[in-house]
Amino acid sequence: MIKYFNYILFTILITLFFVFNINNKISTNINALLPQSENKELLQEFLSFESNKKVLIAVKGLDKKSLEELKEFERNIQKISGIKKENNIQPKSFIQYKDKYYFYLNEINKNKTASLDVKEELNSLYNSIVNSFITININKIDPFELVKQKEVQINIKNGKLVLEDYGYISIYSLNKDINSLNTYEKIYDEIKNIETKNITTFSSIYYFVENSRYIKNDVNKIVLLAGTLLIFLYFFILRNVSLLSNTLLTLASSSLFATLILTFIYEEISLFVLVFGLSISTIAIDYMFHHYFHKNYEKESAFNKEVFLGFFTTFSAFFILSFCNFLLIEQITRFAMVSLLISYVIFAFVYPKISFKQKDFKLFNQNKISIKKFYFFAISILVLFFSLQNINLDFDIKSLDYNNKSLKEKEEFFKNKFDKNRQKTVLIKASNINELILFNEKIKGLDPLATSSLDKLLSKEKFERTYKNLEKSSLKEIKRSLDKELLNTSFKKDSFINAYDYEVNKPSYSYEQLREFGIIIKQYKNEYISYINVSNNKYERILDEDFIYSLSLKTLFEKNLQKELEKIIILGLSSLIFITLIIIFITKSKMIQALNFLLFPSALIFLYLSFIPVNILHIFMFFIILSISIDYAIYSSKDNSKQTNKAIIFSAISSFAGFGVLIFSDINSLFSIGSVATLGIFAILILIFFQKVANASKSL
Amino acid sequence: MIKFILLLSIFMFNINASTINFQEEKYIEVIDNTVFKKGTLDFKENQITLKYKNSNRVLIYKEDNLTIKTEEDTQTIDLNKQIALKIIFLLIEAIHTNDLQTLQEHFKINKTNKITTLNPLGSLTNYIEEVEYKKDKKLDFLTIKMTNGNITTIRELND
Repeated sequence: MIKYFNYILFTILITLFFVFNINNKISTNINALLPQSENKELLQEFLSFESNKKVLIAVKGLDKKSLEELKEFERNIQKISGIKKENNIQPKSFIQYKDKYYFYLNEINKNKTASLDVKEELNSLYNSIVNSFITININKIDPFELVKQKEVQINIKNGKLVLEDYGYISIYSLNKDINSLNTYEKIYDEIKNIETKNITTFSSIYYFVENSRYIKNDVNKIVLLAGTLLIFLYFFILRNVSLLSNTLLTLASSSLFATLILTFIYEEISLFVLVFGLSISTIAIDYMFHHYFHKNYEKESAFNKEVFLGFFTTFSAFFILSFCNFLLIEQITRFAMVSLLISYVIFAFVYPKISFKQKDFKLFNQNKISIKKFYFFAISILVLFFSLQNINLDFDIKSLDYNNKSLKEKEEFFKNKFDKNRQKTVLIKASNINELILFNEKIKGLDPLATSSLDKLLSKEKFERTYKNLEKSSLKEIKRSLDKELLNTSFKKDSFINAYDYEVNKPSYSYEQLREFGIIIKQYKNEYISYINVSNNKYERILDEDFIYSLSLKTLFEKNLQKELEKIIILGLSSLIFITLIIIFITKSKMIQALNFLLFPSALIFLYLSFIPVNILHIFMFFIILSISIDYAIYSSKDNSKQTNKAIIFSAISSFAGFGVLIFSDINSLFSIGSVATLGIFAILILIFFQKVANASKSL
Repeated sequence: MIKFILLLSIFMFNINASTINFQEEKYIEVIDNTVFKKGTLDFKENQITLKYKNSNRVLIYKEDNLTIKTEEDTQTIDLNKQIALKIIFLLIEAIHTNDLQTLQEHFKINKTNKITTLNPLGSLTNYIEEVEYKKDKKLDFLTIKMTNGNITTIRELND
């Protein structure tokens, strides 16, 4: 029965994985790496604004053929469920509201108002009406056009919006209930199906679909590569099929168990955490190799102290780091602890009961070149000293995501055509609606070029100020004069009954009313949120306001990291000191030789990092390499027999299969992990092959 | 054969060019009165020229621009800033060329007893309430009801 332990455990865990639908809790979205905070919630609220779900369609050229091509595309896209044409219909209630507060929402032309001759203006108006072509539009509230007309910035041709120096553009929006990756994918595929060579489309949902597909493909490629490498290692070198299948099942079970535990603790976990966690799980493979090469699996009960110490030190290092409140590190360390614990228990206590006979084989001949351990020690210290001074940190988590160049180019193209001022978007939050409008007015004061859908609203405070200014103007006089002059003209006597009347009550808005007006506003807990586009050069200043929230992943991540940075450094240093003390305690006189396993990989890694922007995953991977190195430091200083070296070499190659293969990934985060791991493993192998060591003590 | 090609090319050249005489009947809400005018509409490819009788002004609609020519000066207006007027020209052109596809882009079309009713779609509802027209070989009438209460009817006159 115990022979089938791994198969049974794996079957149970994989069943639970599907029963609890764990797959749906794994997110490919980089936002999942952000700690759960008000900022993250606000970012998610912002992303769910309908105004963020647009599909932009551009056709090249302004000729008849291009116009027909766009019209044909429009006919097809309208057949896709969940997509509708951008609607510019203003509800009647909103038109009435704008008419009511016309003189508060618009700026009066003071010069024209001061010198207006009402009688003359009325005559001129009558003549223009009678001599108009086909139809005429008169503003009954402001027949003399005393309000400054804002220049319409849009360019239209043949009833379509025109993108300057390009062609026509059309805008569609997605239904507000379309929020899942599945529906995004369906819509994406349908749009791509009808796209032609001359037509370019863009939507922010494309990022979710394309990045997710790319990341999944990349991860599949990496898993296949790692799997092939591991199978090659076990099957062709160890030639033990039973050990191969059992080990793979143990590693898979420990990862599945850790995934299950994590999904019970967190609402969603990032695919990055999962990939990282899976790679960490392969550290555990060295526990198996050491037991196996020391023939512990040929006796029913055998306790290998070196392996236990290696596991205990690694586990403790992750345990110390897990106290960090930084979500990414917290999730990965918890994953690692669970997965390593399960693997260790199985490799140390179950495998001897299953029993695996070692097959003899020759791995390599002893190398004749050997370098004194002090050289490694001195070179490592020197390299570390110089490279640490040239480290540049980059905490923009966007740079960890898949760099979707072609989509970014498309986004840039539309941004350049639409938003020449290159504005940035910030979120605004207030406890009530009037305060939200007031805050927007404050931002407009700081940045007159700022735009928001709240611009169409009026705070009670601004209403009072404007009322005082209107009282000072001659509008009342113009109204009196108009009413009088109308009696002597052919105009209907009540034609301009509401003209120049600004005596209205203070505005008061309800949430439902604003939604009806088409204002972009959302209720968030007991507060209200909206967003503002602000000028680039005012962005930092505006972020200083308490009611303004950044929507930049970089800023949010950095803010959170800065808050936790001190703690991360303390915890990192604590685990380093802990590791060093343990090594000194265990290895005693072989201390330098053991410490080289920490210093030399660190030196090589930091030498590389001193040439590139260092991200959070580089640093975290560095700690993992240290954790692997500790095991090797302990094993090799206690017993540098051929068996130990064989075990270390196999473990190192296995670790390369787990981590190192990530160097072949196109995703920056995975490549970062892969590059550090490859260098670390390379350094360990150099030490194994070339470090001149004294005879190791055989006892602990 | 040469004669045939010559005739065919003359025919092809003129296929899109035609001129109609019309009467405009315009009810203006603010004066509660109706103004009558007569004029000609000259259709060429991508261009409409409008002339009123007893007026020295000529209006040319071409590529979203309206050029107003008098003996003294010429003025050009970008009709993208006067959507209502632009749609009127678009309507006249589409009805004249029986371009149902263009009409469908902006209106919901209903036809009963040879009278076609157009209900505006999207932002057009801000300007136009309803359009009705009857056209067989020639335009019997085209009535445009604006949201501001103005109603304009255009009838094609016999030559």
